[in-house]
Amino acid sequence: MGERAEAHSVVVGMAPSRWRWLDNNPLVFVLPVTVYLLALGVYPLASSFVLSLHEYHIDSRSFAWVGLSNYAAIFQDREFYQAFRNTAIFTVATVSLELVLGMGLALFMSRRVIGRSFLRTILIIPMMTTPMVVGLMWRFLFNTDFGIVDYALKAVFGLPPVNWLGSAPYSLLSLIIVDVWQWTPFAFLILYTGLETLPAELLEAARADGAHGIQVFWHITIPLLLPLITIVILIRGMDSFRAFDTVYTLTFGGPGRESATLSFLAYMEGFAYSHLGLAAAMSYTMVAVIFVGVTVYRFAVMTRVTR
Amino acid sequence: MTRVADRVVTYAVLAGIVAAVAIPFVFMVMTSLKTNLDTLEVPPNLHIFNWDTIRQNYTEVLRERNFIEYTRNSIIIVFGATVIALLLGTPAAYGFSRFSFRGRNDLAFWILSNRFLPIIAVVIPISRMVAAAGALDTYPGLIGPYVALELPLVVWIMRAFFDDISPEIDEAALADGCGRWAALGRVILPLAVPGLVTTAIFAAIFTWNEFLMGLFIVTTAASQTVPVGASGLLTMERTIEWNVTSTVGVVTIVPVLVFSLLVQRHIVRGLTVGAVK
Repeated sequence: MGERAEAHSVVVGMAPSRWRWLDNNPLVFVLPVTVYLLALGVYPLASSFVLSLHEYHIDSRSFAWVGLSNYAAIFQDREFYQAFRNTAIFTVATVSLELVLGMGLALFMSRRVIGRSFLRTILIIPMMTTPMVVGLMWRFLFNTDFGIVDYALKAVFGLPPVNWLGSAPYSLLSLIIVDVWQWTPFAFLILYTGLETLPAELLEAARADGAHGIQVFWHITIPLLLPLITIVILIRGMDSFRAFDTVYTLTFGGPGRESATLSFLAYMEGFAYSHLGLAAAMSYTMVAVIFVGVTVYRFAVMTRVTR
Repeated sequence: MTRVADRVVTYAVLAGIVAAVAIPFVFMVMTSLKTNLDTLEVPPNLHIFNWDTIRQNYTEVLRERNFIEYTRNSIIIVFGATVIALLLGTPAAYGFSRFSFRGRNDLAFWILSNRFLPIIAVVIPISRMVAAAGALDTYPGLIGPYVALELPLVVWIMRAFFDDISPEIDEAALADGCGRWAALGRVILPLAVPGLVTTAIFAAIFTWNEFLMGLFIVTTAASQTVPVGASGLLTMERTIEWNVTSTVGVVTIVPVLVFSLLVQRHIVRGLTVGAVK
């Protein structure tokens, strides 16, 4: 096809041969993006690693090589461990809750005619809302003095008021609730789309062979949906792991550092205390975790799914 | 289960979901229509129809708190970043879709993987690069980094749209004497306009919502974006005026919600950026 096109273009004279290299070289198409992302993705990432090996104060402008001692320092830091634990709890809790709730709702809605497109429209709204505004509106709802959450808990269940944002472990729990509110729709929409494309004959055949609903679910539905489940885990997992905006507006990591995530702690260390070296070291532990996650997905999952 | 019971249960579940989604928004909008004193009452009162109060809240936010200015900053930055990201990203998406070359899949996956980069790990060097270029607090200083954040989205979403257009159409154009670029510009792009619109809106929403990068690059009040300006109302030291804060929230999310409902059909696809194929 290429040769024919070339011969043709010479005859018609639309692409002068001097410029033909522009036309048939894929690199010309993909190079600009690659260079841009090298400059504003890879270079800052490398530069951040170099920074993590230095002690750098903005105020005094002192920049001194300290080797791995920033890493040694954060691994002895209780706040860092706490943030790591908070981030791990937050990530595991949000991803599993969103997956279970999303799957439950998808199963419930599958093959139901009423409300399909309506539900799809409604559920887009939380996902697209500016995350820092999401934090802001829930901060109002969770307020101890005039928040509707405590009021409703008291009115319906007679429960005493809870200081949601200002006491542990409720502050971390609030962050989890808000993330589940915002992102369960994502799990639902992906899994629902998947369920709709499952071959109905397969499920009927299994039922005809005497399989129970639960057996069909575990042995047929789940394996067939596995690629989509993996995508939900990857995307939600990576995003939860980096959580910052809602932490900033909802709890500000408080009380103390009880609900600080890694992104938030690194931000405080770098922005508020000007310990840029320490902040870089903290964020690099995140890069390491995300690198492992993405690589595992690329080589263990993606090749199997797409080939 | 009988048909009727099934319907009742379905409607009940739908109603529950609508309530769960809507309640936070309803409270925010209602609070933005009240005086500060009225926001503190539980159960919430319905003093929301006082035109003077409404006008006062929205005037305060838009004029005195400079949200008109922040909105203008955000619109310029979002527009600039999205146009540049589309100009750079569309040819790349076409390249990945139509050429096969060594390392194509690895390069494409690497571009996608930039979507997962923790912003906090690159924001310090990026803000120093921007400062070194003398571009702190300028539009280009924010547009540059936002283009980098949008590119993985643009390349992958556009690639999915190009993959849906038959390569035979390109071949016909090439046979007619078009070069590759002419085929892309004159034949394929006009066919991909819906994809282009979806991608643009998607990338624009992403940048409009972005907060952390802006927080580092913006250093003066006048150059704040909407989310950065909104975060300024949440200082820990001061008591929050909930009516004003809620008004800011409403002002921030209205454009996002309008645009996302426009492209709702493609939202899921945009969110998974090419992972589902």
